[in-house]
Amino acid sequence: MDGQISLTELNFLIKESLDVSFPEQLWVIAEIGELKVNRAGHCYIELVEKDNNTDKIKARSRATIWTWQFRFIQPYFETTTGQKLQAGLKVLVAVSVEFHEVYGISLNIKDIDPNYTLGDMARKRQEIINSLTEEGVFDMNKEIPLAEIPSRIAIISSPTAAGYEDFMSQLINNTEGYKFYTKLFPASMQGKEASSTIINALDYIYEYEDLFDLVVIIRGGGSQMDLSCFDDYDLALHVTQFPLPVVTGIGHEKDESIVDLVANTKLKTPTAVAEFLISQFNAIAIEIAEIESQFIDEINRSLENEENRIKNVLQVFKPLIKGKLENTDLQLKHLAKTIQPVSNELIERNNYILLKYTDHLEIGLPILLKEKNNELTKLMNQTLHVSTLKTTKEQQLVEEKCHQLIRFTHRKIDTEVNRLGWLEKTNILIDPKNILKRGFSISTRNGKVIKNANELKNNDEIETTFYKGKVNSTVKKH
Amino acid sequence: MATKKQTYRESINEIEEILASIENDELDVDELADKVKKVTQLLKFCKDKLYKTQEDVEKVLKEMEG
Repeated sequence: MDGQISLTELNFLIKESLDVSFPEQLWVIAEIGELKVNRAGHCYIELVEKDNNTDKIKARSRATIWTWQFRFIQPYFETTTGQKLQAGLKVLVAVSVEFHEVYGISLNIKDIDPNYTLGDMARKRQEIINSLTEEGVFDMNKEIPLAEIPSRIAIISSPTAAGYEDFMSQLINNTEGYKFYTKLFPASMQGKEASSTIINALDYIYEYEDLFDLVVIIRGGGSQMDLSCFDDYDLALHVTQFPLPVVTGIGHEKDESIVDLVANTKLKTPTAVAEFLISQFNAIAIEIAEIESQFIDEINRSLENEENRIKNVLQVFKPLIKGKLENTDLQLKHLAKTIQPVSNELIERNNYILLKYTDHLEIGLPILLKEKNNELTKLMNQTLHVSTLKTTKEQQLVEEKCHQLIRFTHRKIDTEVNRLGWLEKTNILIDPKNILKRGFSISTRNGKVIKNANELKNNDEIETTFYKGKVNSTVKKH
Repeated sequence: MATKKQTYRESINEIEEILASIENDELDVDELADKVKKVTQLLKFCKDKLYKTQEDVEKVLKEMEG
């Protein structure tokens, strides 16, 4: 029958014309709709293209990466993008169009350009950042001041995550002995449900807002891939709006996620978050220690000041008293000095007065005496005149007695004169000078007069005095 | 939470005020002893915030687990 072909023939025709139409591989932009890897290691992907506005699927195609290619493509893609090759990613793939008479049309993926995905991710990221910024919420969580002593910590993490354990042991075993209070709010930290479980945890914490100082979102120990949940717009928005400061320790090695960017404080690892919290405590401990030592210094300084003040008072007081005493002394001396001339003057004046009186007396007395004398003479004369007459007889008697007395006296004097003359003569005779004059001499030894020749020994020195002159001689005894 | 934050800061501020008054020699020696006592209390309070277990916080968090 002309014009009739078998399905097999048709499929071969399709295959032939496809080979003609697509002789070489093509670079195709698509989104990964689904991705499965079978036991043999072949990767089966559903590529889709969505409408930008409605998100409706506009095109769909099956694709395959054979195991021997997938072994190279997958690691290269993931290390370059930091993203797991998975559904939801936009990719630029090198494909050849294959047609199998049994399985139909399929795209054989020979290569994936990771740079396209990177660019696309960056663009999406930037879009989210832009919209958060435009909404004016991007910095909101950053603007909440971190508690000075962030001790009450709400933790969002997976309870089985190694990062959570690291965080807890670091925090609880802090060497300073700081006291922290933690409460875990479990959430899935990777995969599709991560974002929504983290949002649920945040909502739960929100109900107990007053019990906590901050929220930490930590993740660690798992795959470095699959962190796209932290670039989620909804989660990022929740973080910006959260009334408590959010600190992240998500464990990125490459770019920071959007959640990191909007968080109050972003740190690389859970351990770093614990260290950060401890460092906050350290800062407070240092502040307390500083103010304490400052206080002690001030108290000591203040006490020293008081001590010095007392010392100063004493120092001023001592010379003051000394000065006062010296002053008084000087005053006294001065007084004494002024008193002396004054008293001298007084004395002199008195002397002068006395002298004056004496002069007066000297002049007055003789006059007085003369007057008295005259008076007396007058009186005497009067008396004499009266008595003369009465005493003439007695006068004659007295004269006689007088003569008698004179005679006796003369006789006595004569006798005494004679006696004296004799005594004088005798005295002249006795004088050794007069004896020497007559030829005697006196010998002395050591100033002693020699009266006995036996007193002298041979060779004794003696001195002999003559009436005129002296000689020294040596005794010679036979 | 707010009062807790303020109380630490307030304590530090109060200590600083007392410090300033000592620095400026505004304090009598007679007052000094009282102020030393006060600052010692404040310092203890501040340190307790770092090191001491606050029973009320612990209790509330435990109740949440239930």
